[in-house]
Amino acid sequence: MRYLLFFLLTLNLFSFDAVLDIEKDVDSKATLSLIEDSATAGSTVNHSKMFQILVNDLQMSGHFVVDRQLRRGDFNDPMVPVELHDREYILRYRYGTTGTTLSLKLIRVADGVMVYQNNYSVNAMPRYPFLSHNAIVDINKVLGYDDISWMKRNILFSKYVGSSKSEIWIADYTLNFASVIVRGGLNLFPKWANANQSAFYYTSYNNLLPTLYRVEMSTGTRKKVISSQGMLVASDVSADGSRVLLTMAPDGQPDIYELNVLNGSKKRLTTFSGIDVNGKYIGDESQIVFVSNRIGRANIYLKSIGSRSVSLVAHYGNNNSSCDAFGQNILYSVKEGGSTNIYLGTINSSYVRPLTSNGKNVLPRFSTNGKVILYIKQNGGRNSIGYMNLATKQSALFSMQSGKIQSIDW
Amino acid sequence: MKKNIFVITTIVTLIIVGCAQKRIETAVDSSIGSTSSVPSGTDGTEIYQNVDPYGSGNGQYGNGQYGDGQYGASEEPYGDGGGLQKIYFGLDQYNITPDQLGVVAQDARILKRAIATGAKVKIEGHCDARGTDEYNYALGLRRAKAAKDALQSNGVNPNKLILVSMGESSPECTTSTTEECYAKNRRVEFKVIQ
Repeated sequence: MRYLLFFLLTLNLFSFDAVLDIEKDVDSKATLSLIEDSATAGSTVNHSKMFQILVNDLQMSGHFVVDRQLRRGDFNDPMVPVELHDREYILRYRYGTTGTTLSLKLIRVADGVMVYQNNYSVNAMPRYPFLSHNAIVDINKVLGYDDISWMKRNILFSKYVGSSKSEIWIADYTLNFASVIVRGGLNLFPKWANANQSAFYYTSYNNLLPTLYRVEMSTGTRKKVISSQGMLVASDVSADGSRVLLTMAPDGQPDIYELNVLNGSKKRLTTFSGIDVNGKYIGDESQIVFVSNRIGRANIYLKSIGSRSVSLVAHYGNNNSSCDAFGQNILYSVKEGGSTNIYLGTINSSYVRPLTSNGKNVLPRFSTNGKVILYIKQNGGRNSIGYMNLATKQSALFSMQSGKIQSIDW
Repeated sequence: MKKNIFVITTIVTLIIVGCAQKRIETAVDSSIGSTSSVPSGTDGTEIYQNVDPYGSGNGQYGNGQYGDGQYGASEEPYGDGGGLQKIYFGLDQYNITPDQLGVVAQDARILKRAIATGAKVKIEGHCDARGTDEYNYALGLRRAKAAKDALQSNGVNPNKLILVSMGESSPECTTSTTEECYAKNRRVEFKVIQ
C-alpha cells in the first residue's frame, strides 16, 4: 500500500507539473481577434497576405492567442461583435488601398476602451510587411510585454546564384519582402554597420583583391573601407558602430583585426599560424569569441583584446566552425555525424543547450536583445530561415528562394 | 495510513497554492494601456508614422546598383591548354600531399616563364560546399597559401603571387553531392594576369 501510494503521488506530481506549464502558458497570453476594414478589403493583392502577416506577428510575439478567422467590419464601428465578447482584445485594422498604409485600433473587450491607435506608412508597397511588424511591436510595448523590436529589423543575406556569382538581399524577417540590394559578380558577407541599420558593409570579390565597402542606406553612397589579399570579412561591429572586427589576411594568414572606423587605424588581435576567423564581441566588448583550428579542428575560443591567452568556450562538439555572441552567451554550430546542429552556451560555465536536433542548421545569429535566434536550415538545395524565441519557446520556419545562403545578418 | 493521508493532503495543498501563485504572476495587467495613443491632425486627418525611412521605390540602394562584375585587369587562365594543373586537397585539409608535389613542380616551371614576361599570378583557393561561411574561406586561403609556399620552394618569385580565397563560390563539380564530386572542388587554381 505504501509503495502504491508513493507511485500514485509521484505520478501525480509529474503530470501536475506538465499541466501547470500549459495552464501557465495559456494564462499568460491574451486572446485576440482581428477585424479587417470591409471598405478597403481586397484592394490589392497584398490584402489577404496582410491578415496572415498580422496573425503571424502576433503569434511570434509569444504574447497572444490569435483567432485565425478573417473577419470584416466597419473600421469605425465602436461596438464589439457579440461572438467576440469572450476575447480580451479586438484589433480593428484598415490596410489602405495604396498598399502602403495601415491604421489600427486595439480595443479592450471588457470595457470597450481603445487602448491603442496608430497609423503607419511605408514608402514603397513591397515593404508592406513592415507595416505589420512595426504595429505589432508597438502593441506589445503598449501592453507592457517584453520588447520584440527584433521583428521590425531588416535582414541582410548573401546567396550564391551561380559560379562566382552571388547577390546580397534585404528582407523582412518573414521574407514576404525581399529585394536584391547588390547584384553582379561575387559580393559576400553583408553586415549591418550600426544598431539602427543605416549602413552596411560587404565584401566585393570583383577586384583583384577582396575589398570591403560601406554603403549608406539613406543616400545610397558606397565607400571603399579597406582591401586585403586572401580574404576580407566584416565579422562584427561594436554596439556604437565605431569598431569593426575584421577577418583579413594581408600576408596570406587569416587572422582577426580590429578596425577603428573613426580614424581608420587597425590592430591585429590574433596571431595563430593556423586559422582564426569569425570574431564576435562579447560582454562589455573588451573580449571576443572566435573560431580557430588551433587544436586541429575548428572550435570556439575566448580572448581578451590585448591579451595573448585564449580559452576554449564551446563545451560540446569538436567541429564547431561558426559562432555568434550576445551578453555572456554564445551560439555555435556543431557538426555531428551527418547533421549540423546549433548549441547555446555561455562563457561563464560549461552550460550547453542544444537548440536543434536534426538536419543541417547553420549560421546562428542572436537578435538584438539576445532572446530570439535566427538560423538557416538547409535541406538539399532549399534553405529556410528559422527563428527560435528562447523566452516564449515560439519557433517558425520560412522558406527561402533557391540559392545557397552564404552569410546572413539582422 | 492516517499519517499517509495527512502527508498527501498537505502536499496537494502546497501544490495548489503554488499553482495559484503562478497564475497571479502571469496574469495580464488590466491597468496597462489605460491611456490611448491617437495620432491625428487638428483637422481630424490621420497622421501616418513612416516606418520605412530607406524604402523609397526600390530604395536608392535597390536593384543591385553596386554589382561591378569582374575586375578589369586582363586575366588569362591557362587551364589544361597552358599545361597548368590544379592541386587537390583532402577534406578539411590544407597541406599539399606527396602525390601533388609533381603537379606543383610542373606548374612552377610554367609560372616562372609567365612571370618572366612581366605577369603576376593569382592563386585561388577553393573549398567544397560543406563548410561554414568564414571558416570555409579561411580554409581556401590556407590552401592558396600552401600552394604559394610550394611554388616558392620551386623557385617562383613570391612577390609576383597574389592569394585569394574563393571559398565554395566556384565549384568545379556541381553535378552531385557525393564525396567524389566534393573532392574536385577542394583545389587550388592558378590564373596568370598580364
